[in-house]
Amino acid sequence: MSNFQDELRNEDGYENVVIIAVGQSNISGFNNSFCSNSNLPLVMDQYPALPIRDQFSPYGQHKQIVILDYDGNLLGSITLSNGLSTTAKNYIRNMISENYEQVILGDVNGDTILNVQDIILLVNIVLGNQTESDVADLNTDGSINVLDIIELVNLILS
Amino acid sequence: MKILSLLLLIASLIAQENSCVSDNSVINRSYYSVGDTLSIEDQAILFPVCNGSDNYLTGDSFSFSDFNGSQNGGDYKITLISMNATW
Repeated sequence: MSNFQDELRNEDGYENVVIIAVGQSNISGFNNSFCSNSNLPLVMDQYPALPIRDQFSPYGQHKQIVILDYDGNLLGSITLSNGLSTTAKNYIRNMISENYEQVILGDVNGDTILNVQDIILLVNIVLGNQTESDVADLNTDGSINVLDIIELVNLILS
Repeated sequence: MKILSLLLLIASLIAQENSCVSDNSVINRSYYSVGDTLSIEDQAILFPVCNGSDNYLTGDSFSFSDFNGSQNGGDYKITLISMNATW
């Protein structure tokens, strides 16, 4: 899976995709073996409650991959049989492709990261120095003004 | 010298083991199907990181809100959760 993450980031250009692995806290042998053979962060599902597995039931079983979008929406899941097959990779790539270019309110420069650059561009829009953009209307009141700047600043500082 | 090395090895193994131990706290969680959105409360639940990598150190805490731009200051990520344990 860590190789697949590299593929997604370096070959497909999906820089904003992360893969985390989930193990359960009471099988240290498996966890230690994983740590020796993978470059993915291994997050512990706390035994006996196993909240991560249960939250995504029936998708949170062994060898399943659960996919979340930018806002924590559960997009889907796929079960792996033996390793990550081409079919599985294509399924994941398609799902990412459909959701990767999702519009982010306040992301005025379209780099999928909200930061001071977006504030600068938003200020320019409010001052009339730059073309308006739908993503600049953060409070969705139909106009772009100082209230949107305040909203964006609060969002970045939150 | 050998004894010292052995002690260091044991200490590192214990440290590794400790990072995998959870407090078994009771969590009132929600249950999700495809199309649902994780609640902000559930996104904020902290889980221990047993194997540090890719911006996480061993012993750090992970939460799904780490990848939600509206929660982390604007850094949005698509997340693949690989279930790797035999349950």
